[in-house]
Amino acid sequence: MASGLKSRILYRTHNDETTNWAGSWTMLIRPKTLPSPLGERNSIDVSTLEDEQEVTEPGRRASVTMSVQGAMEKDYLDAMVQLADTKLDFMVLYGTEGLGSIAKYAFTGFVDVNPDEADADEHLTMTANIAVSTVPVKITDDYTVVTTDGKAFTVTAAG
Amino acid sequence: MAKPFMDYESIVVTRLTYYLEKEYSARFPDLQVVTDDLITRPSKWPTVWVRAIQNVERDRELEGDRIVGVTATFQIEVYDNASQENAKDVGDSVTAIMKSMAFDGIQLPEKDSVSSVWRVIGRYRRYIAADDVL
Repeated sequence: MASGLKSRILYRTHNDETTNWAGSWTMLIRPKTLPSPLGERNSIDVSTLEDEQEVTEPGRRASVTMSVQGAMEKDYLDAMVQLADTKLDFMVLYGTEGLGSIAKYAFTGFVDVNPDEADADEHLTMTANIAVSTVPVKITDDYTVVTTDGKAFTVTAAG
Repeated sequence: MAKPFMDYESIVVTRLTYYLEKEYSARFPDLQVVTDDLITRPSKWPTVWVRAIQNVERDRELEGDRIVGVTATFQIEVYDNASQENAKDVGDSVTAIMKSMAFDGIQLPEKDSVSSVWRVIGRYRRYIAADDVL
């Protein structure tokens, strides 16, 4: 069990070879919360008139838009505005060392950003809306993540 | 039987001792970090007194046979016999070290000098799950 502290979301411009997630990545936003990149899987009703109760089989996951609220900082905001309509790769890291020791998920999508409501008693926040275009894949043990400053990350294939 | 929860108090004290000695070895060679139950008057200056004051178990599972997480609170008091500025400077470093471990800080009002002892008090709290890396 681990808490959600230092869960992170990284991005890079889309690599055509989507099965290779190695390379240089950048932190997208300093999140306050991090929604799931995966949608809920539905069930398909396969009941017949003979069944006394509804019987189901697994369906497919719903599509997801991740609304990631985080601190509104000029550098991150400006970068995301520049990235609008650019196809990006994303990586979500779970684990309190900030490097995804618990889980890493990677997918391709698009980001759009909006400032949130300004409040006198809270710091400014913004929300990055990430359209998830591909099925997120779990790559926890396949890649290693390192960083020196918590903003730029280097991802390499695990030996 | 499930193993005990991690000894995060030792981690906090060790990290405070290491970084404070590293920062202040030249300026405050007598600086000490202590965890005694009660201090009436420190023997060295500055003294950083670390007390784990509240650890509340949270996020119990239905099995209930292991500790999943706790909310840990530390009170850390900095004493100096030269000036309030010294105590505040070390107190600010304590806050920076605790923030590096993601603790939330509450600075209590600074106390006036009592018998030529200046004191700065801070309380630091965070949720710690069993597998967290501090």
